[in-house]
Amino acid sequence: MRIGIPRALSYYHFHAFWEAFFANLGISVVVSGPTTRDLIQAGAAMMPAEACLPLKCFAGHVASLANNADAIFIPRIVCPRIHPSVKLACPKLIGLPDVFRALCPDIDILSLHIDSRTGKPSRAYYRLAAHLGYARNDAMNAYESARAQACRAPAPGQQRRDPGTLAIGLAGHAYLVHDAALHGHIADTLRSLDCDIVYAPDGLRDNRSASDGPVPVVSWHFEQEILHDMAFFLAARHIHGIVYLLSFGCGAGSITSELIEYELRPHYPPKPLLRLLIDEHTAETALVTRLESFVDMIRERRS
Amino acid sequence: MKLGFQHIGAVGIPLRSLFASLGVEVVQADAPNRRSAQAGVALAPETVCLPFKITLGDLVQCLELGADTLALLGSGDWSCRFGYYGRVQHHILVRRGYRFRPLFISVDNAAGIFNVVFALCGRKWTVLVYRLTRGIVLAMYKSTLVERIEREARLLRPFELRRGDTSAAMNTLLTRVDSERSPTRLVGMRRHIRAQFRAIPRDRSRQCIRVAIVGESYCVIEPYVNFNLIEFLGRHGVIAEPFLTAHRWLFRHALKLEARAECTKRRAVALARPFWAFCAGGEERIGIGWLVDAACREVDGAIHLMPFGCMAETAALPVYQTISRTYGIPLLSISLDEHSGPEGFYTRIEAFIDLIVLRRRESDA
Repeated sequence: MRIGIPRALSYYHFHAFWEAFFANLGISVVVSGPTTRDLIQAGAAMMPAEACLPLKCFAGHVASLANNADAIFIPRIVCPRIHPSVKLACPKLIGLPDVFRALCPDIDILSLHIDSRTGKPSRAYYRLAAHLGYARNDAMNAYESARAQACRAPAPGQQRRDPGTLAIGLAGHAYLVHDAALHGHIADTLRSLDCDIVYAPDGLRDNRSASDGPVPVVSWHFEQEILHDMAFFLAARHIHGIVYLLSFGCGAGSITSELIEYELRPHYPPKPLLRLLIDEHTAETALVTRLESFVDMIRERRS
Repeated sequence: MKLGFQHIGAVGIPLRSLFASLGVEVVQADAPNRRSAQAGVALAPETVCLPFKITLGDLVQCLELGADTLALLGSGDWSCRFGYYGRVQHHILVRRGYRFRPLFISVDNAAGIFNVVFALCGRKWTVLVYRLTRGIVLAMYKSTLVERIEREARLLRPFELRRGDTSAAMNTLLTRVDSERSPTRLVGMRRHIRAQFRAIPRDRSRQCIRVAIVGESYCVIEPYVNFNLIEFLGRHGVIAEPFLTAHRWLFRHALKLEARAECTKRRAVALARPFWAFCAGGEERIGIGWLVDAACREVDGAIHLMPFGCMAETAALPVYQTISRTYGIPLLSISLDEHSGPEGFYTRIEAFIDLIVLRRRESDA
């Protein structure tokens, strides 16, 4: 049996774990190819116009896997964490398998649901393994070793930077920030403008106490991560500017960017922040123009 | 203390009654209007949902009318943006320079609300218990009266002989319920409501189609935002069956009580389970269940209303469309924002009604 995993949305948060889990169980996994323009257009044709870009991208990836895999893995993430307070996922992640069961009735969709309010996430994985016909012992071993493998992620290297190179922090959802085709190759543009991209260290996501200074609390798990990343960037002295990537239809993002403005930034020293709102019609030239003027402005302030 | 708060359809009637019982003076415009909507849109962030903008405008208008305290709705732990309305609206208004005392209506702020109410009662327990009990019971009863009036009106309006009779009666009765303070007279109003609607001449033989209204709660309840859809449908011979009304919203959300409806919440959740297993933060699960129930009851069509960008409704939209196709119930989905105008809206609704009527005639023949 081949399980297809779409390279979009929560793939960017959990892919190391999922790939390890299925490999430990001996199931072959095929991940959809990198995002392309055609993929996004195909996804946009399936989803309503107001859906956010990452959701359309996800739809495109699901469609591309339809012929390659026996079943497509679309987990339902409801509540990833309940400490220190209940953290929910965005509505589209909660309803994701239902949407695709409705949109693609011919495709077999494998799902599990992660809701820390009603039980440990591990149980969801055991149930999925049982559904696929594996013994509970195998499932438990697969889960534990997958966790160990996923934690051994390489630490980000600290490079020596030229004095002229700016360090720009890139904040936003992982599925937007790490998908170059989706955000219009912003990282490449910034590198060509002689800037270093800094992503928030992964360790930050698990170790909440690492963020000193007040961080507003929201009940969305992935938005809370962005707020912590943003606090890290605002506090770090070696970072000269922040680019905040948002999707056009992102509801949680619209509230989070307001909270960043009113509840986060006043508590930290001022730092240039560029908000980029991206949808499938965004032209790369427009992004390049905005990034160029942003970087010029930072350089001018520094000199 | 002069308190201002936002409008959510007819929810204002029981709320105003509650505040009056507690001894609070309420300062509010009659309904959201063009001026308040424009003020809200000007101050709100562009990508936020429509109810946020309209309710922000309501609050601005309350402040202009002299309110010194604002009741800010919306409390945490949801997946929908509604939980953040009060928090972000407070920031926006303060930064704009408005001076007021915020009163956050949420479970987290129970102690704060209690202190305010206790202070209003002169810090006397007997006064607090009396006013609170009387206020809550009266507000709940007024809410049931409002539901009765709205229900009778929407079931009668398609059959009325003289256009405008039902709406006139409904508005008179709603105003009377709003201003009435005496419990005995309010109890007597039940019979009065029935008599008033009975007196309206109607044509029982008229063939009227039934259309369910589902979608996001604010868009379905607030007439300013949905351009008085239920009245419009009634004028065109359509019996509207909204999945949510002011009374049901209040009882379900604030009091966690079940309210009478064509389809109860429990039934809606059970019907929706194969299609939408989890509540994603809004009313979409109940809306989906209502649509399935409407299809089972052979309702003629459904209108789905949502604000532009609503997270839960946008995610659920493919599911609504699939149910519409699978069960064969026509569905018209309309997304509303601050640029929506009544003409375009009515044109689409009229075309939809024409199609449904044609379909019904063909199936009857």
